[in-house]
Amino acid sequence: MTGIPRSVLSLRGLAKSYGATVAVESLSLEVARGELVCLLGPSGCGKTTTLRMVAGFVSPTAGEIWIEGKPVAREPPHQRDVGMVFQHYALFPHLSVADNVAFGLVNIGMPRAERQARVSEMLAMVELADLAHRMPRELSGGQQQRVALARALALRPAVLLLDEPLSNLDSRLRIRMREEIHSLIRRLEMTTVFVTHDQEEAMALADRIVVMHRGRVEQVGSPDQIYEAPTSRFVAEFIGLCSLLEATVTDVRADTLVVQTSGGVTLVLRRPAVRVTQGESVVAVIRPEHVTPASGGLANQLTGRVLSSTYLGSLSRHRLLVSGEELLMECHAGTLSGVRPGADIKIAIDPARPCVLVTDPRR
Amino acid sequence: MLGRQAFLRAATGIVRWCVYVGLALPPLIVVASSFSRTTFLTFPPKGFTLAWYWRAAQSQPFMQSLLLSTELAIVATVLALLVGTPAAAAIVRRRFPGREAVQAALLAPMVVPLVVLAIGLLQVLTWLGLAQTFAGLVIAHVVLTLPYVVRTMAASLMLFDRSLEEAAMSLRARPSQVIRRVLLPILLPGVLSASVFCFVTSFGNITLSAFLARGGLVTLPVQIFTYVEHSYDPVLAAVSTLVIVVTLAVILLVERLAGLDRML
Repeated sequence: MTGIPRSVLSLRGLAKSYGATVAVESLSLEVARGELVCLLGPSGCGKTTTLRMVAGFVSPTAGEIWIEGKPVAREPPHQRDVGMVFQHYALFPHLSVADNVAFGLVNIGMPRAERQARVSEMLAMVELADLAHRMPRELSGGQQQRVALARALALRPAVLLLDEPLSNLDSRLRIRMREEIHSLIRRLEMTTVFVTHDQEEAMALADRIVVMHRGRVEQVGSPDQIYEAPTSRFVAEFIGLCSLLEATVTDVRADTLVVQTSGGVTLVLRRPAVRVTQGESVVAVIRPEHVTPASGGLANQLTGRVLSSTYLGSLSRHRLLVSGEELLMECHAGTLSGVRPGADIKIAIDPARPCVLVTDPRR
Repeated sequence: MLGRQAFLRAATGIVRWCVYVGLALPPLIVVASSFSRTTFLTFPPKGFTLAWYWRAAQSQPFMQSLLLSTELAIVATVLALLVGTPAAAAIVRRRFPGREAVQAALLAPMVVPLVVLAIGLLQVLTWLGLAQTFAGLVIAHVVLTLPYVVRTMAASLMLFDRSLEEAAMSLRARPSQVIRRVLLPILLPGVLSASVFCFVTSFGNITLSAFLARGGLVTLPVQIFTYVEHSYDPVLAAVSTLVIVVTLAVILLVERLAGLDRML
């Protein structure tokens, strides 16, 4: 409207502590209209506490919460313009599917005819129109999930909050529901905050991922930024597989760095955005797919001994020992099919792809 | 092997039936002997007559005390629910100093011998000037039934999924709407089961009522107890059968409303 993109949800210095225990330590985040942001982290990292503060179930120790330009941190949950899907769905067991969806509409006093139209619209949206008169206990997990979603969206909230909504489904259903939720949220252009501990889920759904660890934000970025360019050892290890090689910078060039690993291997790597000086300690984050069987001409040619190999269908994963350091490699299953543990193979590390972390002495 | 299994099955069957019979027999004997043509209580009954029921219905003391007991049980149940439910909620949900003590005090009437409770109540009510009044009797019966409400409602609240309340709140429900539209409907089986316990306990209580009821305020169990001191005719059995019928009626009514299986 004003041309300036205004955040729908804005968290400013949000913090929560229980006595001496800090659950969330000064979190700031702007969520744009229609954006899908994922709070990702291991259990106890503060992601659920953050979500519950936005919903109003937990009162922050400090900080502000703004929804659609209105400060709500001191407002009770029923006066906040958010819809929430709970981990265990929290459907009202005494109400039918239709009545569950209508629950919020009744609370705001919507006239009956309009309410019925909205409920039908919502149930059609999640493809549950035939089950309107069932009770929640008669539904499968996936159906309950969709009722929970329809119920949360019926009030057309400014922000949709999802608390680990897929964690109770079996793996096949989880992927299907993930895609359904994703396309629904996209279609409605819902501003959404999603909590999960599952990095694959975060990668698949989010526009932006907020990686949290011990109540702190470790990194905020798009899924590919988080994966390709982690800014901390924690993020590198939490998202995807990687080998971390401790190294010392021996030369800084225009676009590249030359480092020597603690095992004595010399590698040429892409120069990071942060300033690096010669002699500095760094960590090279090497994803399994950055390591390939050697084919002439590439830099970073090395010899590795195969420790073990795992067949993963389309891929195979190999644990290698290179100058005393372990390195993971993933390649197409056929490429190294004959290789046995104990064999020595030639490999190369693509210099453009690994990310270099500057070791922070405070960590 | 098979022999041993068959023996075990037979043995548990016998024990089970002994328990069933032991539980059901006393009330059955009372009901049966209420139809006896004899002028004294006897089992098995001799002949069949409904005359004793007619006599009971004609007896003003019995009918008055039946009415009193019913009124008392209903009023005490309602008040115990109104006092006990918030108390249970506080015990389950809040952490406050003296919580354990409050919990112990609320459950005490269940473990303190009734005679002790009765003497205590008599003194307190006399001091308050409420002895031998209906209000005094109600207070005593609320004290008597409160532990049942607190225990049953605490159990229901403990099992209640808090995220349902949160879901309601995030769906714009004001606190009063949360209570009316989510909390109460889901806790209803607990409320009904507490009501049954209260009603039956109050309706059948004799110790407290015997101490506190004088003059016109004689409850049915006390009336029966007094009656048995000077006569032993089947009117007793007929009245006792009425007590059983009222109790069963309450339980069946609640069962129809909520379903006993969901309730207990």
